[in-house]
Amino acid sequence: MAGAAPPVTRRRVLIVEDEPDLVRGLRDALEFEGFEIITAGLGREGVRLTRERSPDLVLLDLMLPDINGFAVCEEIRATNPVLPIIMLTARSQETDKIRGLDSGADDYVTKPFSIGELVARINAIFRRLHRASAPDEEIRIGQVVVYPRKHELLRNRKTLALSFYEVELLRLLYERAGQPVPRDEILDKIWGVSGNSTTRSVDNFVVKLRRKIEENAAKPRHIVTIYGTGYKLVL
Amino acid sequence: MLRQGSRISLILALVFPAIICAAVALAYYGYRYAVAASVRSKASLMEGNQQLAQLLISQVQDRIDSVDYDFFQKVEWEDRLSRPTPEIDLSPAVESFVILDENLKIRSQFPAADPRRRKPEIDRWQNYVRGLEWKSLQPWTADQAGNFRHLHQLFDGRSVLIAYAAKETALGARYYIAAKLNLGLITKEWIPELVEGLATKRRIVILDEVARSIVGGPSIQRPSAFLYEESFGKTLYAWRVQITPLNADELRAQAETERLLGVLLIPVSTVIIAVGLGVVWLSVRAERRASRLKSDFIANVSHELKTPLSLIRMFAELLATGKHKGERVGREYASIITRESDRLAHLIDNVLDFARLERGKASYNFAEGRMQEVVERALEVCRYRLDKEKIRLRTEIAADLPLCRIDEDAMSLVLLNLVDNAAKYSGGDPGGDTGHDAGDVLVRLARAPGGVALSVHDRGSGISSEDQKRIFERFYRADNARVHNVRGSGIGLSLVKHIAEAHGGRVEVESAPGQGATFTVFVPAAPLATAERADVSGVQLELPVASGSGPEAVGMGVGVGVPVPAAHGPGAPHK
Repeated sequence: MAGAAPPVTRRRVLIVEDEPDLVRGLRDALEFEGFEIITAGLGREGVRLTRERSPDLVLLDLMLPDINGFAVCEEIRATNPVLPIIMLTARSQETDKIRGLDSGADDYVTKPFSIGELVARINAIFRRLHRASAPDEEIRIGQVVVYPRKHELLRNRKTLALSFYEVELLRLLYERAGQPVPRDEILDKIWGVSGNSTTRSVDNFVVKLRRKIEENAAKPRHIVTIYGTGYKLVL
Repeated sequence: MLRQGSRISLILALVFPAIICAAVALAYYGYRYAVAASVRSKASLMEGNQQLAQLLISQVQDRIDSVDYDFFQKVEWEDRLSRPTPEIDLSPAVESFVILDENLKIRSQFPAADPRRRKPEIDRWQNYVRGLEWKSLQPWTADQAGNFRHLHQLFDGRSVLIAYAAKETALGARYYIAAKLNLGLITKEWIPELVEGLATKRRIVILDEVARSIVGGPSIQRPSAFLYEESFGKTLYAWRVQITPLNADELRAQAETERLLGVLLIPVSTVIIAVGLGVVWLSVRAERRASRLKSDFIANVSHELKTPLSLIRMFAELLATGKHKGERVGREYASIITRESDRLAHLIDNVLDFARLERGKASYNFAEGRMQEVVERALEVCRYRLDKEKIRLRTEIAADLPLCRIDEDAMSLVLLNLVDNAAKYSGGDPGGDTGHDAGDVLVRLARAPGGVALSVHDRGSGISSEDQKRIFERFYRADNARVHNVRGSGIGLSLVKHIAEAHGGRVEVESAPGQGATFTVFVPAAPLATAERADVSGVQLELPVASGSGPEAVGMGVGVGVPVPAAHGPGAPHK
């Protein structure tokens, strides 16, 4: 599995994937980029390694021999709401993507994928993770209070967990509150990828965020869609 | 898919009970309606009987009354005469009569009394009439028709009908007339005449005072469905009319049948509908299972297509960007790309072959050929791959095999699929702790009764009996295959079965978990070839059944030999 004890600065990526050749390619590519790689061929093994080896990021295949990727994601999320999880999926239906995001994944990559794009996304996550925020930082949106550092939000006296990407997306929209932020820019700044082929991930995340923030997610008042452009945060 | 499936289940769960309820309601109301209809038809039948009886009674009465009226009109008694009006034209219905004076003394009788031959029965009725309530009778007037009366009773065991009336002479003296009517004439001529005139399909019986039948044959025994009985009421008031349909028994049987049908209709129709629904449900379930398997197949195939595609793209990208450690690794990447392209092509071929062969026999090109040649050619194709995967291939091909009528391409596909399967599941046993070489595949071609048996043995982990029942189903993949992540689309074995059956043969599997597996395809010999062979040597029959013991024992396993991630390269099970 993992190599010898890595230097402190090396980020550890857990690959949960059952196809050996795919694991090999991912390992080679990510090791080349300077990451430390640990791998699991089964979903349960992946959950166990997440607990025991504390990876900084998980690459999770959807089709696993024992339990499917959604279940793995939910199990990881039950104990670790912040750990970034990127799903690798052969399916490209919207419903599968939404289900993946619902089960707690932060992003998904559809097979066959570009290894370059994957690495860019991983790097973007780490850049943002690296950026420390003030311990007492809080974002107020209507009746909702978001605590980015704790990856939590408080609404109607209920605390909800936020994933890495959700916090990042909220932070970006908050910095530009009242102004429309284009999808491409969001994709570039949060996910570290350019181009408009995968902008649906932004939309899917917005859907997910609205469910947590809005009173009525079907009629959003805070995260407003600007048709043809992107999104705007109304405080 | 799931949502749609559960919606269909919900619809079925709602519709089936609704259909059964509707059927029960329909049967119930059908029965009620049948009963009501039978009651109604019986009622209308009885009504007809009643009308007929009343009509007959009134006709009989009218006829008698008209005779009586005539009689009382004509017969006069003159004070001075001791005889009635002479020479009156009496109706044959009047048998005899007497005239009594005010003191009820018989003053005249007809026919005249014969002193030598007195008939006691005449005396009796004549004496009897004296006791009638003459005083209450209104005297006869022609315009007051009907003020005569009848007496109808037994005298000496014989029914007698007497009409009587009071009259007055021109001088106002009261006298009485009583006539005995000819019942024989009435019952033997008049009533049959009247009955015939009614032209009815009913049987009409007249019963006398003691319920003896007088007209219309034997009396109708009660209880009898559809029997209507009515008393004459006046005139022949001691008698009754019985009316029943001629086909009463038939009608009764019919009514009984209808009732029985009605009673049976509920359970029988409900059962039939329930059985029908059951059949529909089963076929829907089978259809849904097939469609689920099909969509699993599509998911499998798309997953199977995307995996090699991802690998090709990834390693090509790594090669292109130069992000790899050294030339040796680069060459490995290139070989992975080559291999995955082969795999992709093989998968696509299989899917296309399957689609083609599923269209039916028309897509086969049968010709007489030698199985050994097909087998040798096909093995050439896969030998290279097996060598690379370190799977030892052994062959036993019997000499002297009969010619078979085969589609050579299809037959090669059979062998390639079976060998591919065997290689997949017996692929590496990297631990090697089982003590034998799991990577053995034995292909054997031998004579079998009526043809040739081609068998492929491997030593994998075997197939559970559950899975054995289903592995030839389209798109079905054994649990082991799924759990141990052996790649596959679930059509290889189905294709084998399809082809074997198209050749008039069959495919069998023999296996036990941990014991490996043997797949045997029987191909019948070409008709002429069998006869020709039988002449030469019909003796050497080598049945291709795996012994399951000894070093030669081989079998096929599902799912052991997946190469571990580290052992990538040529270990991957594919062709």
